[in-house]
Amino acid sequence: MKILVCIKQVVCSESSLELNPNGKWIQETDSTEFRMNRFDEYALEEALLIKEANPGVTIDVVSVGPNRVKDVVKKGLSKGADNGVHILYEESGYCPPRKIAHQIAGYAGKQSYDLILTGVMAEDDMLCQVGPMTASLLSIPCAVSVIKEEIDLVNRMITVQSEMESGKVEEVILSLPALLTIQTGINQPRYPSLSNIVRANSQELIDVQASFQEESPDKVTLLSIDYPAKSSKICILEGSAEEKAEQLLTIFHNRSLLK
Amino acid sequence: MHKKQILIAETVENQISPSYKELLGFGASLHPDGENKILLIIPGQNVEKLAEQIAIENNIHTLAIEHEDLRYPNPHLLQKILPEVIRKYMPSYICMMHNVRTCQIAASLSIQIDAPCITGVESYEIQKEKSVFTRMMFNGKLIGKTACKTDQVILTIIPGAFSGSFTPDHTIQHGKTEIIKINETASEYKPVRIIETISKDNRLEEADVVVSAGMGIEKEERIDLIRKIASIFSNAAIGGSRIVCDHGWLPYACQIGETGKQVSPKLYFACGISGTMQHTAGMKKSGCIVAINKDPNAPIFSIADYGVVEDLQSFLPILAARYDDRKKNP
Repeated sequence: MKILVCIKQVVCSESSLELNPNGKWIQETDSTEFRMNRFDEYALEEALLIKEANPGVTIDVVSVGPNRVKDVVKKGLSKGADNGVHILYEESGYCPPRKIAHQIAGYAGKQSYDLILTGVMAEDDMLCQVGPMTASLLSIPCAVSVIKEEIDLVNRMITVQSEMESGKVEEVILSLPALLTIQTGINQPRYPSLSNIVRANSQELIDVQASFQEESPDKVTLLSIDYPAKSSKICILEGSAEEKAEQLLTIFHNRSLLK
Repeated sequence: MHKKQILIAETVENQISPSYKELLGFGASLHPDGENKILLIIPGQNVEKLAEQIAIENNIHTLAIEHEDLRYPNPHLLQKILPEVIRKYMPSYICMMHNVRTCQIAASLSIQIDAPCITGVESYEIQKEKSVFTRMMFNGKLIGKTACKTDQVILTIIPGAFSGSFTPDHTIQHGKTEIIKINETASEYKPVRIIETISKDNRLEEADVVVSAGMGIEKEERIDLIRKIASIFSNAAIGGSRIVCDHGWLPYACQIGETGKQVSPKLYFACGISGTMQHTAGMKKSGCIVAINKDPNAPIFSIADYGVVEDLQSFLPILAARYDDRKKNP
């Protein structure tokens, strides 16, 4: 069984985000830190767990982007993926989901994967689109926000639990090949092992040139990004920490909420 | 000029999600001059009567799409059926309320009908006769403005972002209902059942105060600080963001947000919570929101009533100590 895990390299959003001069995307500098999209870490871990539970499973990881994304592909190998694929997409700045989906589908369509996994969303644009778009381009069934799955290789089916709102979960059966977008909390992503780090450092990545043949021109334009406006009603407490604590207690007291 | 819109509601076991009213409100706001032509699509197992009732109540056209496998939301089947309906109706907008499944429908349709798709829309404005849509990015740390180059766009709308209500216009015509009964089955995608996983423990819903922990607490041990703070209130419960629960620092029964519990206490005390849309969906109706975060740009401050820019590790013990002082010397 062949599994493909689609991973995205994102800017570490815990650090402060600087906008580029035209306000259209994040300013990338030498000190900008990148990492694997957190949702995709869970997708990769799920693939690794499937591999451990079933003999004869191989895992490929793929990422689309400029040369810096090779780092997350290597990270995927160091966690235990068998092969790393880098689809070189040179354009700097923001790359919309439709373009990424076209590149992944273009590659995956030639490889006969049984299962494609990716995170439920990317931490940067938060669109939740690449997974279902890729499935649609490949004409395979897709389940989103998966928190559990069980593979029946004999009948080539996979039973999944998809998270809904307010604690509800839907169970769905898909035929393979299928694409799942994985929700956080499904597992605990592992740290790379020493032996895999050594292997990842020496293993050649499969380099693929982006194909623009089947890509339709993008019809969505990200005009600008900006910091959100503060609530006009908000009262930011001033003073020393002790003074702020006193002010809070007064607010709580006046609302009769304290013991 | 008439702008046509297709709005797609969601049903579970023939019960329509009440948010369709918000969807109608959003649809009406797109063309406030009233020259709206709205078609509300209601997919389900047995929803013709429901579609008729909603058509009459709101004086809009409705389309019931029926299939046994539509008893639960079924993005897979809908993406097969909807392109033909869309081609026939030629809408400018195709809108759904935002959740992961409607994102799936939106993204798949975007490929099927080759139209742009913007998920998670929070607001929009008209700039040079083009609609510009605003949405959260980077966990809410940034907002992005997006436009599209075509006359047809697929949108998912964040619940609660548009408060405009829908007023039926009874001067125009009577709402009509059409029905499509689907015969084909999709063996590659079979819905089985819906499972309720949320605990029946109602402490969070019944508490006057919810003290909630986000990743700003950084370490599991600091849940004790949150507990200590909760203990100063007369009726408080502890909640957490999804990622805190994912780390196992709090049980999922404590998770507040889109996929967890929805609460509206008198006071919501957000400690180290960044304030993503997924979280605020579960608490923004709280009476008073107090947020502590060391990042002054944290998006939680855009919905809070009171903000404290401090590090939790040092601030919460000060708050607890000051409370103890007050108790001793009232």
